[in-house]
Amino acid sequence: MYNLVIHETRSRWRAILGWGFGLILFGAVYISIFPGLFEQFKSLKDLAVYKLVGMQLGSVEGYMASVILVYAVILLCIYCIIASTSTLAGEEDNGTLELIVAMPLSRWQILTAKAVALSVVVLFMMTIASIGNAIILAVIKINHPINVTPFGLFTALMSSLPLALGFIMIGLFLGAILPNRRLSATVLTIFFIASFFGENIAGMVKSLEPIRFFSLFNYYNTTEIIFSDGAQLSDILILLGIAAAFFILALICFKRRNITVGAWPWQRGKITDEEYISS
Amino acid sequence: MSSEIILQTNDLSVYYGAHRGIKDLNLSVQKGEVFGYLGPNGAGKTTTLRAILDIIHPTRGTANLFGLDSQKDGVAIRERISYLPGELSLYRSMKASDFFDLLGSLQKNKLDKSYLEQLIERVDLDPSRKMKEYSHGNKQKIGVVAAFMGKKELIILDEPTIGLDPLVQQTVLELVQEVKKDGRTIFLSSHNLKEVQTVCDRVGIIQNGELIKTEKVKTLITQQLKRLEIHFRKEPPHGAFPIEGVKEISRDGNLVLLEVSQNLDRLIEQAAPYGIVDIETKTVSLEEIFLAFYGPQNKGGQNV
Repeated sequence: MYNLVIHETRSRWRAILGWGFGLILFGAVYISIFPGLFEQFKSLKDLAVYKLVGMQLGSVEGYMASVILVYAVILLCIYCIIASTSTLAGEEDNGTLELIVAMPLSRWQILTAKAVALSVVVLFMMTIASIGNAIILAVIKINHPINVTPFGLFTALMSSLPLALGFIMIGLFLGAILPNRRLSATVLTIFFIASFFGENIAGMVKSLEPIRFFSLFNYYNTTEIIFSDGAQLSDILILLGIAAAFFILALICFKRRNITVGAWPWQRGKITDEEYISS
Repeated sequence: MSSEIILQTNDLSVYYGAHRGIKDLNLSVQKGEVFGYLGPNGAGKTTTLRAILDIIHPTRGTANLFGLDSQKDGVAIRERISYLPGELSLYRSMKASDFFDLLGSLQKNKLDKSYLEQLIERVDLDPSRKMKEYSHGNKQKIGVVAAFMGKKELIILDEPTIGLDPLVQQTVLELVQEVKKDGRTIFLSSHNLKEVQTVCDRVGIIQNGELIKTEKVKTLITQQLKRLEIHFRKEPPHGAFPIEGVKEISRDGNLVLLEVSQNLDRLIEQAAPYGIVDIETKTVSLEEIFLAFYGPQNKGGQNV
């Protein structure tokens, strides 16, 4: 199993570097443009369209929290959707999963290896992105007074990992239960969009408040407080709990799955005696 | 070949919802034999292999390998098996050499590197390239090497020579024979009946998900279908032998070529009045037997 983890992780080294440095570039652009545009942004702070996408333009710290933390994490989640649905469902569609399943590994070992590898990949990716963004902030702070420490930005970015794990495990679960990758990716993307906008809309409309609890973004703090206080332990535990629950569901479904068939769950059950006799 | 049973299926059935994959399959493969598995497209050959390896879970019935249950003891079983899928898919951006390393690393037993190198050389493969750079034939070579490199007790091959040039096809057949000589077992699903006839000891014939025949290749060839060339003293009229299982292939005056799958005694009886000068038995290939099973006039081999 260990060798499979190594293989799965190594096969994504380009993604680690590409997405890691891409997120640094993203942060560099957005952190560096803000000091010069601060006054203009302040006048836009009450516009609903910005609230809808979770942007706080009233302060440098609010802007950094809402732009860097939210959009870097959106990009990270996009990677998680792509990677998690291409891991089981995608490999089954490609036919490579058949080879791995025919190896002397149990289904739980295969799934665990893939889940661990994806988690490690995201960890590396975010470590690169967080260190890079912290360095850029440190450089910008030389000339502009920003009330966020590089370490605060580093920990805030790293606190997105439980959220990423949540999406990875949901992706693995969908890959294990739905017939193909396209469907798994579609369902997860819809959930992701609903989760993101649901959280922001619920923040604007009081009557929609209860739907927040179904959004993973509800458990990820993107206010400026995170730079000083860090992520709340309860949020981290909830996200890790969700990730664990979907991992267990993925294990159950993957164990039951007929690889290469691409069938719906109800097509995988045992036939009844009547069906058997009539067939 | 020993009488020890390596693979045994008991009423093995796989249904996809209401669709039939395989039904009540009962077959056994002995240690040290090369077992050929024949059937037209969609007959259920690949489904059988996947069910045996627990890639697909049986709807009903069991598959036992080395005395172990394929579902309960899958890992222990797969430690002793290697498998070449019929539709081989490889990691596009991985080098062939890395692929062999990966497969080797997932095995319990240490890989015999010198044997791996030998195999690579024998199939004439350059393992330093990425999968996406290989032709279909070269990808199949990779699959062949991967199947044989672990020196497993049972090697399951689904169409192993498809897309290979005749020289490499020959090498694969040699490898199969070497495995057999080694006392190990091969389960070979193939459409290439000549190669099945060359290397297999026994064959199982599957149609519409049901095993309709299991027989030794030699027996199948010598007993199942005969081609008789009868030299008559007096030319019999056309349609002189309206017997079930007897078909006239051609005639040249008093020389009539007949294909006989059953009722040989009745044929002799009805042929005697025309005066039999000579009877010659012609060799029938496995291909002809297979076509007799599945040919348009004889779907399912009722007359074979």
